[in-house]
Amino acid sequence: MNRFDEIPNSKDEFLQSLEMLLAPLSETERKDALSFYLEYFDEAGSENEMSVLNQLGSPKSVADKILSESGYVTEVDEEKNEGENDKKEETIKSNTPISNTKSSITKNPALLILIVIAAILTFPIWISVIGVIIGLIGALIGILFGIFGAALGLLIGGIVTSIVGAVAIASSVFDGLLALGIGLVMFGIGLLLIPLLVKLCVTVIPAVIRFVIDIVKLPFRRKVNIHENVV
Amino acid sequence: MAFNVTTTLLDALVLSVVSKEDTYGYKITQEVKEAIDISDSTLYPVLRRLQKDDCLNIYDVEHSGRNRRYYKITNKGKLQLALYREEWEIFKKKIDYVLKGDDDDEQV
Repeated sequence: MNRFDEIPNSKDEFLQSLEMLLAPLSETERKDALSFYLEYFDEAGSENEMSVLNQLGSPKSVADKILSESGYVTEVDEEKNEGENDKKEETIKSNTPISNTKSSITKNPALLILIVIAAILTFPIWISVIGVIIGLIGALIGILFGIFGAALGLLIGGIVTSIVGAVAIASSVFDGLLALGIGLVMFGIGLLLIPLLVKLCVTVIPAVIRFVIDIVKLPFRRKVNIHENVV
Repeated sequence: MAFNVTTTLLDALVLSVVSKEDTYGYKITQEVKEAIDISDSTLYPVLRRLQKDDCLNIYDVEHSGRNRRYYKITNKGKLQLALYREEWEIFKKKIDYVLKGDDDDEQV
């Protein structure tokens, strides 16, 4: 439903809508129709504008009559078969998966068995591949924890050394200053490691998780599809 | 109205209206509506078709500051109308014969 299906509020609105709806016609034919209706409104008089609008009905119906007369297929023709069309659409929609299912059912049993046999035969290969992947992921996590530990150690150590150094200044200025300096350097390195750690966590961990999910999905994907098709 | 109006009947009525005198769209519509109950939007496609089939000609006349398009019946249109009138007489008698009661049998 749109505004072309409704009775317009004015002659101008009607003519504008009609002009748009008659776009498939040639310029001369469109102008001919529009001037006919403009004249029609003028002859009826402005006092009868509303009754003419009601009599004419929606711009869509008026346009459809003109278009079907000019050999265009319009909704006037289609309306008769509307119910049928709906059914057709439904059957088309439900047909597509049905035909798909038929073709995959004929292929599926053999395919499924092949996949299972291949999976069993290649067991030593893919179990070692999985092992390597798990190992690599473990290493990555280890590196992350290592960096985290180093950063934490440097930060805490730095703070402690700095405090000890600052206190020691009272007894031995040089030793105290040296300890304070080392402590601050440690703290600084620890601080520098934090953005590195954050960046690694933000980029590496999601990437690893995605990678793992993709790998896990890979053998299942086909099976899932087969399952869907059968249903 | 209980009966469906065919395009042929519409053509015949329009040709008949225009054959009496040259006239314009609005007036044709009003006169045809005297006989049959049609929408105001039905006539334009009919007039357009009759014009394309050379049964009607058009000419524009200035009327109170604006244009009025007059329709005039052509010779072909007159022939067509004569044919329609003949056909109508036959059609009418046949329909009457079937539709009316026994007392009207002698009319056929």
